[in-house]
Amino acid sequence: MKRKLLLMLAGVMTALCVTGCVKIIDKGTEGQYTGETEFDAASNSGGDWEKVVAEITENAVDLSGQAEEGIDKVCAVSASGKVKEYESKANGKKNALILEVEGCDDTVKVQIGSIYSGTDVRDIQTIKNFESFTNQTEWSQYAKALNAQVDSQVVAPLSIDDSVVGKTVTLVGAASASGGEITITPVSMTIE
Amino acid sequence: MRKLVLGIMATALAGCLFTGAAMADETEKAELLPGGGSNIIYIITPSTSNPFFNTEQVVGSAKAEELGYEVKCFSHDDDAAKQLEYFEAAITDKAAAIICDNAGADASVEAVQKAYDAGIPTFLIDREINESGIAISQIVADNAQGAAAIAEKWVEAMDYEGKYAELLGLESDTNCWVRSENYHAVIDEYDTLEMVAQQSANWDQTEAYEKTEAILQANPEITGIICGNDTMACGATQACIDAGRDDIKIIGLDGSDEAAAYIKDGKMVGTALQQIAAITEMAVEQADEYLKGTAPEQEKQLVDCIAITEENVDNLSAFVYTEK
Repeated sequence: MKRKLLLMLAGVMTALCVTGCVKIIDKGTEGQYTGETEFDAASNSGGDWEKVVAEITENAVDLSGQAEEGIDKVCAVSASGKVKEYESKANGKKNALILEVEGCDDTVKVQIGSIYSGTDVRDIQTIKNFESFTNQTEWSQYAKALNAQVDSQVVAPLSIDDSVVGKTVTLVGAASASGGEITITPVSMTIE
Repeated sequence: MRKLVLGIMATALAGCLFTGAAMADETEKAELLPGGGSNIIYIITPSTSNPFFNTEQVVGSAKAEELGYEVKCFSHDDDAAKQLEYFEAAITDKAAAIICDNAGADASVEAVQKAYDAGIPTFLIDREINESGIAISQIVADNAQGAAAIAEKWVEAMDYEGKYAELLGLESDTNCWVRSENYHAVIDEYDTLEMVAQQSANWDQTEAYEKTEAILQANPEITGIICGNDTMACGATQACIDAGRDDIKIIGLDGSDEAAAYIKDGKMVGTALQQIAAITEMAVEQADEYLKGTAPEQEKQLVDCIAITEENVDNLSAFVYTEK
């Protein structure tokens, strides 16, 4: 009974909330009224990055052991292999390494930016989910922000160029497969 | 005056806090809505003249009947008042549950709330509403992911460079911007791709045809057109064909059979399939489980779109993707 009363009271007050006052607020100044500042995916992902890397590293399966089953879904993988090719597209803005991974028949492609495709890193982490965000656009910006972390934390410090061909790359990352090609977005990587 | 404003704000805040507390209490107890008492499931969607919404009614009915329910289907024609009437009919009919592709994120809250108050659970498909806690499920296609995925394919098809035009959907519609923003999230990373025209064709095929004709005359240098849905993409494609421009790379979003036919013919680069048949089946299954005592884990659920190009277009038919 008490609960019902509370609910009714809440209902009335919500109605007041909605209909009581209407004020037109200029676009971009909402934060001054609501305390909610504009969604900032970059700062949102920054604090998560270490946790995301730790989780993906912990769940990573060795790609060379997946030769027969293949990978059908997005998954966390670790892999090591010799660089066969340094692929460069879009005037050098979309680059990738093609790896020779023992025991894996598919083409293994590692995204090395600076433009990254897909949402694989976001999709295999569980630190945040869709319900952590207000809408689809923020959820998709979060994926982009994580990819930006891939570039700044993992790839850029290695200063990769075409001299990498023939060297051995060891990495952990988020992988997905399509048409006989496995694409990996690295969350940690070394080159020797 | 200032005091009055503060007073109103304080009341509003208190209201919000109270509602929050009451809702938390609700979830903890996890009391389920009982349904109206009959064995009827209502399926309420936009006009079935669009094959996308027709699929919702056809697939939803089949699934619900398979699970032993009686089904009644209605189209609200994107009219919130009409939608409310059907919800009221469902309440009078003591419906067990309502499956709905709603007539507006804000305008539909009232109808869903009425059903909730009458103990009838609503399961929303395709479009979200701007309210949590009154629908049991909100299952939508991930438009942001779908737009980005097909934009990637388009950028490749454009070979990462050139000028292009964009046809936007209805500008009052949330999905119009979700799609556009996520096309641009991918495309704008390439400064070699330049948008020279952006116009709304309001999701409409004829309008898209006419706008494309005009754009081709004003900006003959374009080599690509990105469209907010397949209906507009098909209009744009036909305009390009009629103008003898087979060099223009076009994408849409939905996964309609008409778009699939153009993709097969090489006239369109691709589309992103919103798996509406799968989404509708999920909603009906969740309604059935809910009525039997198990609520879905999450209210808001996203279903990935599938990027469709000539490589996999043969797997697509009537909004259903079957790996062959």
